[in-house]
Amino acid sequence: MELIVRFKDVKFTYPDGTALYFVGEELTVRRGERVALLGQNGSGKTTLFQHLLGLVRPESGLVEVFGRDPYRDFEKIRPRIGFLFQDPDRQIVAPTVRDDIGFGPRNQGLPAAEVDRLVRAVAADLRIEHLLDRLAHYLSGGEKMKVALAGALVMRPELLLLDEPFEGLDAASRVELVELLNRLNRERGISFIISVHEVSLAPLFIDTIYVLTRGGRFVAKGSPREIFSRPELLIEHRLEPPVVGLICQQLRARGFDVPIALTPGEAVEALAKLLSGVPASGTERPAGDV
Amino acid sequence: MIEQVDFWAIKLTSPVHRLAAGPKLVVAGLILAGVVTSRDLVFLLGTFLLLSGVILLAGLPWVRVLLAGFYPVVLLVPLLIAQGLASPLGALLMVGKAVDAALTMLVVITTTPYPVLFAALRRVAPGLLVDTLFLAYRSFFILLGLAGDVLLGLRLRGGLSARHWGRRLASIGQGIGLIIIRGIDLGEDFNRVLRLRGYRGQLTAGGMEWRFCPPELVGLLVGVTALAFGAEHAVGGVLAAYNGYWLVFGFGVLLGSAGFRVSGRGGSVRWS
Amino acid sequence: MAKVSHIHVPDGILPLWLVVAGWAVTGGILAGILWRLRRDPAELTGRVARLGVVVALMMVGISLEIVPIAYHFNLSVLAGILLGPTAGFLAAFVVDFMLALFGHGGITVVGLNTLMIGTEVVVGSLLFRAFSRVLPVDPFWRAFLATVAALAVSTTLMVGIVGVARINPAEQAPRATIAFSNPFQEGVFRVEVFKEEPREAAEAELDLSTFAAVVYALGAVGWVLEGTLIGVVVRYLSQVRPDLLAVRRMGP
Repeated sequence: MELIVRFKDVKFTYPDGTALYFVGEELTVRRGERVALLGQNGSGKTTLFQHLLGLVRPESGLVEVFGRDPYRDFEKIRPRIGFLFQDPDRQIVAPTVRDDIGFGPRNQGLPAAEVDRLVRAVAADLRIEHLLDRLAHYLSGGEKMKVALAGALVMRPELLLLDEPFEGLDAASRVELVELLNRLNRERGISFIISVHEVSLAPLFIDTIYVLTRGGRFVAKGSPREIFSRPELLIEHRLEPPVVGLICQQLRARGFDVPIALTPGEAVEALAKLLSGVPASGTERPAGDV
Repeated sequence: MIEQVDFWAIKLTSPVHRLAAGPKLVVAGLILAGVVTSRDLVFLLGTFLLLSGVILLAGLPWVRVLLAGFYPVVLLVPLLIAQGLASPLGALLMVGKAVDAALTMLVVITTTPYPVLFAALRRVAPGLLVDTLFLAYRSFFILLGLAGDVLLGLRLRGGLSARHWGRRLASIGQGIGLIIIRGIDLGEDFNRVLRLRGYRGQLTAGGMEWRFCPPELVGLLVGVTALAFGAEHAVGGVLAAYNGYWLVFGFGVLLGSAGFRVSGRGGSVRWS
Repeated sequence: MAKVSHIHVPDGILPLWLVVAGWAVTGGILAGILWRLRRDPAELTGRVARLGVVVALMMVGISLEIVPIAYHFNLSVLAGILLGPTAGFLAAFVVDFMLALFGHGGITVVGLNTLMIGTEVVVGSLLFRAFSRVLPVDPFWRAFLATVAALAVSTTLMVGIVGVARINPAEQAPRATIAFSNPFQEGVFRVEVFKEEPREAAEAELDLSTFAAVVYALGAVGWVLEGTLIGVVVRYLSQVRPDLLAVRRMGP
């Protein structure tokens, strides 16, 4: 599969002198791949996104998006990339929702009728048609996120960059976003790179996880099962492993033969198998007892 | 005040709200031109009654908007003091013009959502200035919320009631400094987003701001009449003999609008 | 309590020729600034964003009532320090236009009012830069002095404008007679609402020295208040984000 992102050995220094050195692993994203960045505060996730968007220039290292240097050639790859910043309020620049979603296509020089068609299509996709004529400052947090995402998706990008999109969303909205991202990946083959703190959601929609530590160093790369099977790695780098995984690990430490589960469903399966043949405190547990 | 105005413009609906923004600006311009050139207190009074009626018809909180319209009188205080009581009519003329002009603009801004109003301005103003207006308005609400949080934090932590006035001032200054820094950060974020999304000098698409249907034409007729009465001294002074009709017209609009309001058919809130 | 460090002139007070002249001068300055900006599209994008935010900050400042001093302050000099004189002048125009839309200050005299606020912005910005180079004092004092001086200059300009205008409402011969004329017949029905004795025009002419005394007296209080606040803010910025106060010209 075609490599659409390469990010390797990048060094960058902030104006205040703080340096980031993204070493350890090469970050690659193939077409259709869903990648997550896990890292504590200060690990450089946002700065990594800024490099991919051509907002900053690395002092050294390789940054390639669709085979181009984004700092130099972002104009050429702009229509192929969508982004969602951490605070959607800072991403919505136009006064109404309709204006903001249509902002990108208008800047591409598309005719008004085509812009309108694209806006309506993406609004229908995200179920926000009723918001089209609303003003941005009267939207709720979840609505702003959807509007910002609509603005990112309207040009039908091939790559989506999402910086902590789950922050501030309620549980139902998070599930909705995960389902949406999966659908976009399934139906349109959109690749995405997403930075998350909410590790419990990752197994539901991620192919590859990169773990970053303070200073930008990549300390691990793997599938969700590979990464979450090593909760001690996550704890060492100030990340919280999924609860179900922690429970399974502690059961293993006590001598029980259970796999490390990634989701509550897997955990229930594992525990059900375990309990089906093992009495608690020497007695059979009555059926239905929790 | 700006938040209130924005709310009234967006959430209320009335015949005045439904007028197109472009013609509304033209009508306001005509009335303004009549007001600033007028020497006739009766015309100014009639215009005041007319604008009061429009405010009622729009479903706006009448007293609050009228009070806002009287704000320029405060700015006139030094001029009135300096002029003394030598010409009470002259003083009344200054007050009448200032109030009528302010009310004219308030009627426009309280009945026209800002995206529509600023988009209408694109026909007559440079794009950079119009987009600055848009971004300023957009930023205002974000920063106002932030400013509220900062001031609340200062208040809760005693920054605004410190014993020593110097300490108090330092707290306020730091609070304002923090708001400014966050504001500059917001500006840099917007700059980034504009660059990423390929900004080419136009934030909005615009729409039907400049349609001319019968209600807009009625408004234009009123505006032209206002200009004619206001500037009558410059064109032979003929209309001075008819200013009573303008006064009655203004009073009639006020009474009619009051009737609409009382009957529940005037402006109402649109919740969405 | 209205802001007293800045006097906005309402509509209908100044003579037409002066209003037009104000718009002409302001329009010319704005055209020059915009023409210069358009030559660099990247600069344009950056300026729109920062301009918009600084204008918003000025509007927030005007909207906030700082208890307990109950003073609405204007960040015009601070805008000049943050944006520089040229972009600051643009911000002054946009703020004045927005204020006029909300009935604060006249819409027809935006040209003249912009010249006054613009003067504060430009003078404040240039003085702050000069003081930063030559005055080895706390940033508070540099900003305080620049603010007070800029406000004094703009107030003087405003007094000058009013002086040149030779405001004399009595000269306009205000009328207060309600008349119902019948266009088809002879005769007019009139009601004289208020009668004023004819006076010599000079009696009713605005006394410029009284006006100036009132304006300077009220203004001086505001200048000190605003200068103090701007000084405290600039000192804070110099500690936290000194790059925002860096002396720079408009350009990349």
